[in-house]
Order: sequence, then C-alpha cells, then structure tokens
Amino acid sequence: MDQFYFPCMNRMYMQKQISIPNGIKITISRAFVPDQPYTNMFPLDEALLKGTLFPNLYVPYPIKSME
Amino acid sequence: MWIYEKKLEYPVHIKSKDLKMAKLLVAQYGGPDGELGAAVRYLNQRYTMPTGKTKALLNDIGTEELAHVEIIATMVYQILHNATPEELKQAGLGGQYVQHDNAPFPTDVNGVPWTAAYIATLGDPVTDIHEDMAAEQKARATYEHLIALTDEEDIKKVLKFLWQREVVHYQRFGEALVDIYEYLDSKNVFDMSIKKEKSAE
Repeated sequence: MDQFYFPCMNRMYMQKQISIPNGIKITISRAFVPDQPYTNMFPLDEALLKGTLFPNLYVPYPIKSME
Repeated sequence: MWIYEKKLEYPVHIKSKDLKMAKLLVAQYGGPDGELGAAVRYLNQRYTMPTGKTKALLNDIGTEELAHVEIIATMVYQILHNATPEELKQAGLGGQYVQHDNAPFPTDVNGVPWTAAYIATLGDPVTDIHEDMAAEQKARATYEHLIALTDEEDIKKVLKFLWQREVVHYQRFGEALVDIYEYLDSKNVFDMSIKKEKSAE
C-alpha cells in the first residue's frame, strides 16, 4: 500500500544533474550562466562607445531612438 | 594600488541645465544600487574569492565601478555648477544648496547619505557572487528608469553606455559563479570552511 504514497526511489529520478545542449551539464538548485562564446569583435573605437567589445554581448537599447 | 587615468571611461559633456535630472541621477551615485556601492561591494568581496581568477574579476569590476562613480559625479556636477541658488531651489535642490552648494555629495535620490548598509560581504563566494549578479540587475533597472525620465541626448547616451556595462558585468559574474562551483566540486575541495582552515595552517 505504502508504495503508492512514498516518493519514488527510482535512481533515475534522483539525479541532480540535467543535460542541456552542447554537452553541458547543469545542476538543480544552482544558477547557471553559459560562457560567452569568444567570437568576433567590434572595431575598438566603436566598442569604447558601445560599452562592449563583443557583438554577442551588445544589447541595443529597448527604446528605438537609442540604438 | 591603482594607476589613475586622467580621463573619463566615457566622455561627459552635458550642456543642458536639467536640474531636476541632476537630482535623480544621484540615485546611481550614492543610492542603494548605485556605482559607489558597487565599487565598495566588489573591492571588499574580492579578498575571500577562492581563485586568482575570481579575485581578479572583482578587483577589475570594482575598479571600473570607481570609474563609473566618476562619470555620474561629473554629470551631476556639470548640471549643477552653473545653477543659481534660486534655480536650485526651483528644481527642489534647495537642500542641496544649503548643505553642499554645488558640490556633488553621495546620497540617494531622497537625500539619504550613502551607507555601507547597502552592501554585503558574507565571505562565501557563492553568496557574494549572487549578490553581485543581483546588484548588476538592480543597477540596470535603475538606469532604465533614469533613461525614461529624460529627453536630453547628452545624458541618455552616457546612461546607455553604463547600462550596457551592467549587462557585461552580469555575464562575467555569471561565468565566475559557474567557475566557483566547478572549483568547489573539484576533488581537492570538500568544503569552503575546510579550505579556509587549510590555508590558515
């Protein structure tokens, strides 16, 4: 009877790690931020004004006139 | 020690006399989620980071936050310095004039002086990095609120730059967090407190 009420002890459901794409394992109860892929750069003078060297980190400002 | 560059990280040339905006900009100077708090937070937390890389990261970002303090203070000063006492009073800055004339003073928007109560150092790298990630998001949101409150392009473009830096710092702290977990999981480290005892021997 108890088997219907006990939490399932199947090992498969006890794992703390979860696989996400690119072969990365993330862990429950831990925050995860993916590494920034190191690709491409803005020209230096542009980067100094934009606030980042990296196009993949650059966020155009949500307000249209400020992009 | 530091080496000082006698220029701002982003140029500030504010022609406008938007005194009401100067009153609001101090949010990022001496406010709870401002740049001064960020600098003091990171520069104190760096000592208890577990790896050279994470110590260096907090050192570098803490240093950059000092450069941001300078940018905000410059903006506030450029707006305030030509204002007459009467103009300051009209803009709700009578209190500023009485206590500080046109000198910048690190308070929040309501005039509450900056306090170390705005920051935390727990000595636990996972905890501290979480606080830092939250701090970057709070500063980002505050910049968005400030940008929404002004039409001056001179002010907006500086705020947009600082806003972008918050996004970059958030990414770096996120990478540091994953790094710290990896370090704590490595076979030589069982527990941060054990690690500390070892290094004290």
